[in-house]
This record gives sequence, structure tokens and C-alpha cells, in this order.
Amino acid sequence: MNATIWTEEKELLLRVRGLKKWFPVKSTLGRTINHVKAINSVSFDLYEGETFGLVGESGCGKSTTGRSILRLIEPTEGEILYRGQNLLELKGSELRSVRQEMQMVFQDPHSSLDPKKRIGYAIEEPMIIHRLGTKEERTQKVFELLHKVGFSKEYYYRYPHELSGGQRQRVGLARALALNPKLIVCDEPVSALDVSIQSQVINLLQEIQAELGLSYLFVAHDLSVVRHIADRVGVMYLGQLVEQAPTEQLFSQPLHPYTKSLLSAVPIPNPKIKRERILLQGDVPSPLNPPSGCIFHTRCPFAMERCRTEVPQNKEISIHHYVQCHLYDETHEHH
Amino acid sequence: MAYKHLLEIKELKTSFSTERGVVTAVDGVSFHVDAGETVGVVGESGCGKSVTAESILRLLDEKKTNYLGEICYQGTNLLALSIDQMQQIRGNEISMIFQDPMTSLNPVFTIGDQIAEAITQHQKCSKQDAFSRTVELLRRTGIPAPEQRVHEYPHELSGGMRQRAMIAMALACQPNLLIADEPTTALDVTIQAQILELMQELKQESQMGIILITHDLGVVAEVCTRVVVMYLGQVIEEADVETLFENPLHPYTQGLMKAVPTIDGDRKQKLHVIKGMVPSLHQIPQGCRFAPRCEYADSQCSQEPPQLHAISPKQKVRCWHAAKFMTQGEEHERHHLD
Amino acid sequence: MKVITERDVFSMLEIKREHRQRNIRRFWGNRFAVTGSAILLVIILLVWIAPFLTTYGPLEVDPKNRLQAPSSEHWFGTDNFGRDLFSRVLYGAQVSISVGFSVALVASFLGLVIGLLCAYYAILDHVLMRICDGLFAFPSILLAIAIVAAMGPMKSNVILALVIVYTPSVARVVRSVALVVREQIYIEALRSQGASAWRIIWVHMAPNSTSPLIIQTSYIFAASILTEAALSFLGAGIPAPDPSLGNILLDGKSVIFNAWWMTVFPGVFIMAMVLGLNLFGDGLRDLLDPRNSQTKK
Repeated sequence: MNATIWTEEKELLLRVRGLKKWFPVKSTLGRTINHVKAINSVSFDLYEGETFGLVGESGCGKSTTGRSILRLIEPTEGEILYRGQNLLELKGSELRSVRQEMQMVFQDPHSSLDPKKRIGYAIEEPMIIHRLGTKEERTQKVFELLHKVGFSKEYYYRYPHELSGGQRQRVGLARALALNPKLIVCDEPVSALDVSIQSQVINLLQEIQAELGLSYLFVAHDLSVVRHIADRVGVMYLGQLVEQAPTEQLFSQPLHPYTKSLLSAVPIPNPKIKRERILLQGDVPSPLNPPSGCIFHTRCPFAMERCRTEVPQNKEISIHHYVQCHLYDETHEHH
Repeated sequence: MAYKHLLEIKELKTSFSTERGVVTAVDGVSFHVDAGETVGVVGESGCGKSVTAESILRLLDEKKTNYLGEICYQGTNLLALSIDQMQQIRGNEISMIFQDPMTSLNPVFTIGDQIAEAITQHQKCSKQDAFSRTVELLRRTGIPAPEQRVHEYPHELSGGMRQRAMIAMALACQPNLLIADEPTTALDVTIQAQILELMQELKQESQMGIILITHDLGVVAEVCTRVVVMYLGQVIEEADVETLFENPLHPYTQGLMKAVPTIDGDRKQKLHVIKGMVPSLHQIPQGCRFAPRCEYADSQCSQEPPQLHAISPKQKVRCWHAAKFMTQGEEHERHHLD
Repeated sequence: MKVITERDVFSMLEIKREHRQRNIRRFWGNRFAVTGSAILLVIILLVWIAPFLTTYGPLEVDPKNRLQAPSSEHWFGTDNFGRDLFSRVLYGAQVSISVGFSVALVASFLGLVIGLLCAYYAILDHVLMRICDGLFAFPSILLAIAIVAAMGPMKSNVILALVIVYTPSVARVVRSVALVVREQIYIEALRSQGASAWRIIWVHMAPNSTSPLIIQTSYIFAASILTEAALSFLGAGIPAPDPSLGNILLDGKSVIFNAWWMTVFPGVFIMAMVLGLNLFGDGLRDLLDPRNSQTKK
């Protein structure tokens, strides 16, 4: 397998266009005085059976994007097309049936399971909600799922507090699989786990994808993990997708200055490699008042005059490699 | 001044009395730190790395904690000192920075007040002097516009800035030893890079010794000179950083290194899994503590606990089969040269 | 394919038994819970078998033997009408327990419903919590007196008054816990699966908000015994001649210097019941705290 495997032959599953979420900031009198621009015009595609990784630092809007797609957060603007249907226009039973096909795995294994419910019930519940099958069929399915994520049957009667973090994360995955989804949004599924447990969960995610042909939207801050699991990667900064490309390409030839500095900041577990590091100055600006022009210009080592005023467009530099940066304006025109 | 090392921990044993009996969180840990070097202490949660650090400063509740062994700082055993004498060491000779800068700074005082207090507590100087030194410290740790920042409260600073303020506070009295407990775990990678860079610079300037506690092998490789790997309360391997990453001898160290995906390694290859889980401290395995999870374990491993022994001048390991891995490693290297 | 074998069923039952045994062990290990429930059991038993213990009825007047000191004939002595105090205290305790129990049950149920709905629906929260604030602004005893005064002194009205007084405090506690529960990831996970508000509130938020409620219930039980006694003592509670610990105290007040037993025995009973309930509540608090139940493997 390599990065060129996804191509036009794969079917489009999810298309996100111009997704925007602004949280209103209210004064004590209840008037909206400003907006936190959590996501601003995010667009990407997700194909069947592939993993799209969303990376970025805390507060960049990657989790909000994942949640907006499942409509756990109502987006302010934009289109989310799932197999051609705009999710934001769906209501009632239509929305419920689409929801069956999209599930989520959460970050915190300690609070993602109801402490008062046994593991078996937690996995069965999605099927009860959607009124699928008889009690016996559901129980049978729960045992299949327990087996699939590597538990023996007696875990059916265990409580969440009797499980370790990695085990709970596997239960969360089994619960997400209960409705035979096509897409799973994974929100930092391994970042709370210890190293040796982390690799178990990553392997399991990959095995299940290979077996069931699922698509993952993989939201994470750990670049090494995303590089390992994703087919394509999008890099977010301050609510915008500044660069997206097939994984190999993004990691070997990053274009956006932010991506470059992000990659150079990841420590490599090899003391012999000493890399040139692009240290960024200062902190991420507040999403209340993002910078004008290019959002990265306040910290960009290559910022030019036009970056302050002009918003860079999303340009396709090579196949499926998009970047939002003025540095690549000319090179693109020459093509 | 007849001491060999800045800090030398000898057979430290820290145990707690709990409702369910005595738990030994650190069991016979020995290592040393010299001036000007950064020693990394690595391990997963529950391996005793934080307890070791807290034992050095005796931060644990002494009513419930029992220490055995010695922690010699410049030749004096810290475990034998009185509380008052210990207070003179803490923050003055040895300081500590923590993982979460939000909870380790007091939210109701400005950062300037807190750092100035750290100075006046240990050194005789006027309030004004302390304050100007605070501004200088903040400037040295790379906080922009320190004259204004001193008057701000912790919640007004970003995560990276708070960690810088914590470092400034830890450095207030020019300590000889800095203990950093997961100092960058809560931070983003770009901020982590800034903080690690800062710690390196400060170390070179002042020649202090640093103990860096972390679970991130990447961070260890970047900044440490020597590494101590811990598992279930024991040191299982100790080596200088090049040797450890080139030729890890303990199966646990090897497993850890194979388990993490790297940013430059093979993609799409299955990650290595260390089977099973870290056992609870109530159920410590009889022989080698790693034996139930080890792929090379035999009957000797599950019955007799191995000792930490030197395999070369640069490397110590607690494993019955280390010699075997040693030759394997060398063969591997020869293979590479061919 | 046969999914569950007999061996599996056996090991599952084993796990269930293991859970039950652990809970029993933990109960016996908790000194508060054991002492509290022992006190309560003794009192309930005494009240239960009161008809067999007493030779005199609680309403039997014997003017010749007024204000007798405790003796082998009248264990707790007699009151100013010559009624057997032992019998009156036991029957009074029965009234107290039935009032306290009814109040605790009804107030907890209403408080749970109101608290959960407030936590889930923000608009309801604004309205109901303001009403609660209004009720809180009155001293509870004054409010209870006002309600009983408006509706007449009857046992059922006393219960109703106490329910009105105590429901807001239960609702408050449940709401504050439920607000935390609502923000947990598993609630978000349920929403992502398309679960209805009904399911989220009653299947998940309710069981996770009840542990403070159970503790609160035992405290309200104790508090309503005290408030009922106070109401009866002030003449606004259980009307004479029916005994209640409060109106026995009221009768005893005028003769407190001549007949100590008329104030001491009902007082001791009130104290014992309240102490038992509070100890039991403290014990429950420790037992239900998830931090204590966490057993690492």
C-alpha cells in the first residue's frame, strides 16, 4: 500500500465545502458583541475506505470540524455532502438514518462510557436507539463486536471502571461499529493512552478498516500517529485548512511555512539526527480577532507585504496537494 | 567538597501505606546526575518516575510515606535532613517544574508576585530588587514585554507563556539541579520545541544538572545526555543517549521504541505491540517484573529477579538475556557496515 | 453458531456475584453505614412491635396517675393526663417516621424530576430555578407554618408542607450534579448516535445523578422529622390528642421542672433517629463515591 492508492476510482463519500462555525460571544446583557471564529471556510473530500487526517495545534478547530460533520455542533455556514445529500438540510428520520452511517470515537476513555452501565449494554445501546433487530439478534451482535475488538465474552458484564484506558477505548470502537457505519470520526483516539497501549489501538483501527472498508476522519495533534494511519492529511491553523496533501507528499515536501515549522518541531527518537528547526515566534493569535490577510502572517518567517492584506486562495500545486499561501502564487502561474 | 556527583540516588525505596496495604512505588532505584548534564527518566504511567522525582524533594505526605536508601545532594543525604533544612534546599538548590502550569501557579497572585516571593524567601534582598530581578528572569525565559507581563495573572497568559513563567520561577534562585516533570506534555509541538530549546540554552549558561521526566522518546533523544528507563518501580536500563537508541538491550526498551510511530520511519507497517498491561503494584510478578509481557522470557525470568548490571561502561541493564541482545546488536551493526 | 456457551454464562454469573460480594464487603467495612443502620433498625423494630410492648394505649387517660416518674409500671412515666409515655413516644415515633419517610420519598422523586429537566432544558431551568430561589428566601419553618396554617393542621397537610419546603433543595442538588453529567463525553456520544432526549435524561443522566440524591434523601428524612417535631411543638403540626414527638414535647414544656421525663425521652428518640439517619447518609456518601469503588486490577 502506498499513497497513490486513493485515486479517482475510489468513490466520494463526504464532501465538505466552506464549512464555518462562529461561536457568538455575548455581553452580560445578552447582546452578541463578537464571534470566536472556530472554523472558517474549511473544504475537503473524503473517499470510501480512506483515512483523512486532520492535524493542528490546540484551538485550531480540528475537533470542531469533526463534531460539525456529525452535527453535534450546528455549523454556521457551509455544505456537508454525504453521498450527495446535504446533511445540513436533513431533518428527523432522514437525519437519523444518515447518523447510523456516521459514528464517532472520542478522546477521553474515562468519560466516554456511562459508568453505571455494563459494557454489553453500552455496545448494544446504539442498536436499541435505532430499533434494530430483536433482543437475541442484538446480543449476538454485541458478542461479535466484543470478539472483533479483542475481548472475551465475560466482558459483557463488566463495568467501565474495571477496564483500563486502552480497553475502554476498544469498547468505544465496538460501540461505534454497532450500527455498521461507513464513516467514523476519531477525535484524538489515542492521545490519552500510554505508548504501548497506543500501538494496540492504532493497529486495531487499521485492521478494522481493512476488514470493513470504513472511512476515518482522524483528528489528532500527534503528527507521527497521523502520518502512520492517514492516507491524506489536512493541516489546520486558526480555523483554516492551510494545506492538504497525500500523506507521503505532505511529510516529504511540505509547502506551507506553518506545515514546515510544525513538522520540524516534532522530536525524532534518534539522537544522531539533528535537524534544522524552524522556530515560530510567539503564540497563536486569538480566534476572536484573527489577523487580516493570511492568518499566518503574524508568525510567518516569509511574510510579505501582500500577506498582510490579501487573503491567499486555495491552490492545487500538484494532484491533490492544496495550499493556501502567497509564496506559491507565481510558481503556480508558471505551470 | 568531597562528593562525586551533584546528585546520587542510592537504592531508593519509596513506599506508601494505603487502605489495601503497603505499596512500594519505587523499589531500589539508583542513578546519578552530574552538573551540566540532562538525565532523562522514561517510562509509562505507573512506573514510578514521578514518585522518584517527588522523593528527591520530599514532596510526598511524610505521614504515609516511607523512604529507604539515600539521596545524596552534594554529598549530604536529603532523606536525613529536617523539614527546615529541606525547605532551604527546595526552590533554592533544587527546583522543580510540573506538567500543568495552570494548576501549579496560584491563580490569585500575579506571576511577578509569585516569582519575587520565591526570591525573597531564600535570599535577602529588597522587594524592589526582587522585582527587577523577576523582570530580568522573565526576559531571559523569552517572555516578550516582561515589564507588563509581571503584573498579569496566570489565566491571562497562554500555556506556553505560563510554562515559561514556571521556568523563570524555578530558576529564580539559580538552582544547581532542575527537575522537570513532563514539562512539555500539555503543550503543542511548536511550543514544546520553544521550551526545550530554552531549557537547553539555560543549561549551557548555568551548568546546572537537569532531570527530565517524560514518556516521549523523541524529547529524550533531542535533549538528554543520559537516559534511565523505568518499569514498575525499577530502573531496567540506563545508558547514554546514543547507545540507548542505537542498541537498546532490555526487551521493554526495545518494545517501546518499536511501538511508537515515527515521523521518518516506515509507514503502514504494523506497529509493535507489547502484549498485556502494566500489572498493578499490588501484584508484582515474582521474577523479572517484565517477564509476563516479555517475548523472550523463560523459566529463569519468571522465577529469579535479575539485577541491574553493567554490560559496558556506558550501559547498565536489568535482564538475564542482555548479553544475547548485545551480540545481536553488534551483528546487526556489522551487517550494516557491509 | 452458538454464541453463548454454558461456560460463558457461568463466568458471567461469577462476575455478577463478584460485584455483589464486593458491595456487601464494602458496606460492612464502613463504620458509619453500619452504626447508622443499626440505630435505625432498632428504632424501626421498636416502633413496629409497639402494640406488643405496651400495656397501655397511647390515648388511654388515667387522671389519677398524672405525671408519674418512670417506674416498672410506666417505663417512661406518665404525662399530665396520666397517659403512658412509653406508649406515646413509640406511637409518636411511628408518626414521625411515617411523615419523614413520605416527605423524603415524595420530595426526592419530585426533586429528581425537576432537577433533571432543569439541567437538560435551559428555558425550564430559568423559570423553575427562580421559583426555587423564591422558596429558599423564606425560612423553612416559617414557610411550613404558613402552609399548614392555610390548609389546617392535619398529618397529610404537614407532609404536603414539608414536601414543598424540601423539594427545592433536592432539585438544586440533582440539577448541579446533572449539569456536570450532561457535559460528559458519554452524553455527547449518545447524541452522536441519535439518542432521544427522553433516553438521555432517564436512562443515563438519572442513574448518574442519584448518588447524591440518595444521600440527600436520608438527610431530608432526618430534617423532616426535626421540622415535624418543631411544627407540632409550635402547635401547627399533628393535632392533639394523637401523639407525635413534637406535641409530647409541647405538653412537657409547661412541666419541664417537675417532670423531666416528658422532655427527655421524646428528645432522646428524636436525637437517635436523626443521628442514625445522618450516620447512614454519611456512610452512603462514602460507599457511593466512585473514587472509593474503583478497584484496580
